[in-house]
Amino acid sequence: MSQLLIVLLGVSLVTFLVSHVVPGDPARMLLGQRADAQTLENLRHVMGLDKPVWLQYFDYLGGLLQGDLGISIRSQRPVLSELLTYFPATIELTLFAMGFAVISGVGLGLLSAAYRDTPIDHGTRVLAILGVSTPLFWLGLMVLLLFYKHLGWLPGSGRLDSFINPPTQITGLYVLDSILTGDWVALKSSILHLVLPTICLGYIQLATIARLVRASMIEVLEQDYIKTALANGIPRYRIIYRHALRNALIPTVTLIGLTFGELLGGAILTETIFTWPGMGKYVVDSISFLDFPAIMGFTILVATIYVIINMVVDLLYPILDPQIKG
Amino acid sequence: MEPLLKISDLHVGFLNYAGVARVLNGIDLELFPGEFLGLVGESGSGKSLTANAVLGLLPARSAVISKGSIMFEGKELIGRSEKEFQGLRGKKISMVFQEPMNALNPSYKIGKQMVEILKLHKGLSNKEAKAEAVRWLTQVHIQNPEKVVKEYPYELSGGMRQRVLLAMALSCGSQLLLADEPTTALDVTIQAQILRLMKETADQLGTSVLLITHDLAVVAQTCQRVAVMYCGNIVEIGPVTKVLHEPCHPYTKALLKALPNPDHSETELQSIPGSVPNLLTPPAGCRFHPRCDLVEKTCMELRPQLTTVSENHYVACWREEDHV
Repeated sequence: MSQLLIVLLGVSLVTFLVSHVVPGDPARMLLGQRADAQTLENLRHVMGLDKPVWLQYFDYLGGLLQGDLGISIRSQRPVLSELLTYFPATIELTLFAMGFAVISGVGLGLLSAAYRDTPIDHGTRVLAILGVSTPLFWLGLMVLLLFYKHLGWLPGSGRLDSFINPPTQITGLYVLDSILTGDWVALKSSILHLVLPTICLGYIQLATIARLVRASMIEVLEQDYIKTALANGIPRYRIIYRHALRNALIPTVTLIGLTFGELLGGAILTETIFTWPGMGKYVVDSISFLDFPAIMGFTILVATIYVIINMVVDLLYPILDPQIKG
Repeated sequence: MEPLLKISDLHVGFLNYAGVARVLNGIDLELFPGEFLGLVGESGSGKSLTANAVLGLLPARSAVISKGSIMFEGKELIGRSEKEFQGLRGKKISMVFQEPMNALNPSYKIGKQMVEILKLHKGLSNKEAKAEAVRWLTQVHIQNPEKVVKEYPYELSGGMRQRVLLAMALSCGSQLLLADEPTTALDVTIQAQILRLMKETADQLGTSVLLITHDLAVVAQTCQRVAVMYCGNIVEIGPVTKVLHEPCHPYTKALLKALPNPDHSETELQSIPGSVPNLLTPPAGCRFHPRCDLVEKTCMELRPQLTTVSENHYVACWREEDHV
């Protein structure tokens, strides 16, 4: 818990400082180039921009403690409620990308290790190398070009077809909500819309996970207890998925925790490419408007999620590795 | 009596970038029911490899069995499928390894690991297998087995783990136990306990044991017969008393001379001059000839075969008549 507070304090300080050393005047941005000096002065006073920087920071911090992320300069609405509007879309995409990356990454890594140095392994490794080295924006454009423009198999933008009503809001995750409300039309459409962004966002992480799982599986398969299991007549498939996998997952779980942060960050680009109405797109729009409270709010929210996920990962270790006591 | 295990003229090579290393060069070995046979030799002489070949555990991609046969209960093992071997391993032939610290899976409880094998080979239900696991832990003299089955390997000492491994190896009724330096990694006091336990349990069950070790004292304590390996060959085999007291092969003699003698602690320790040859280009004839005092022309040209010295005592040496 103290870890969380320290990280958040650091994040708030850094984002605050960075956004205040960046040249640009939010008040000027809001009023436009032709506003007169007096109006500008008044607005700067209202927004607290005339106070010393350290005082502004403490004001901000005080607000944070009460769950107030400030007021968006652009929309004049509370940043928190704005972020929460976009949050479900991002979380839905991130969770899908995460699921895709973890399931296929672990699967491919296992396959690669089990069929080490065979064509299966080589194929998987090429796929993984491609994943680590393909830029996300390029991959996004390519899949759009192929599956959306040329083949027309999958939708290329948004969360739903334009003529379909979103499911009744419960969690804000369309897939979950449409299942909960039995809205099968919306379910199908939202899943189809998720395919391309999920693949793009998840592919890099899939590759990283596959490589790590392969490496740790190979290491584990050399261990004495694998030899014991073999000598005791345990079938090979069982040795792989039962005796080796669990031990190989320990380093992988760490990576998966870190991956979540990468995915949230990567979501910014993916959402821009696929016009996905999530926080990523929101923050990009905010950046072009110098909407500092919104940018800082986003950063702090992502940092919080990241730290929480990694705390959960820490709690998973004792389950996987009995030698670590929680 | 029919031997339980009969290895004849077994040749195993390892392929690597530099060629084929001939690591087993015509092994002949018989193991009878209920017998303890020691297999001694220095590191790299092919002891463990012989055991691994019996279990079909040679690395498939690099090891080649070029010649020979391994008969178990009168049936050929070489050329069997992986599936057939799986049915043998742990059920008819078991193995315990040198390093007990890492030989149990760190992620599963002792009971679970034992139950898995019992269910696999004996088709027991979960409950029966649990009871059987506890019974086996009692058999290997583990105090409060009910507690140990619920523990993870890291909670047990090395000696305890080796007991558990022994229980696992024997729990499905194996007739043959391949013990690959089972006590080397343990303290001397624990070593003696484990050996005694192994002897006692195997005798009780009528299990034959191939005890691989480089420790002649261990052999003297536990085995009826001993085979001495050098560089992929068995150079001498016979009853322990004969081989240790009236050794015939110059290598066996040198090995025995290299043992520290507590009665003459002031004398310097003897070592065998030279070193183990490179197996990619092994010496022609007798592989020991470059290090042998008695070497003559034949030794450099022809490989000696095992010949009888006395009852059950065989030696592979051209100069054997000269020094008996």
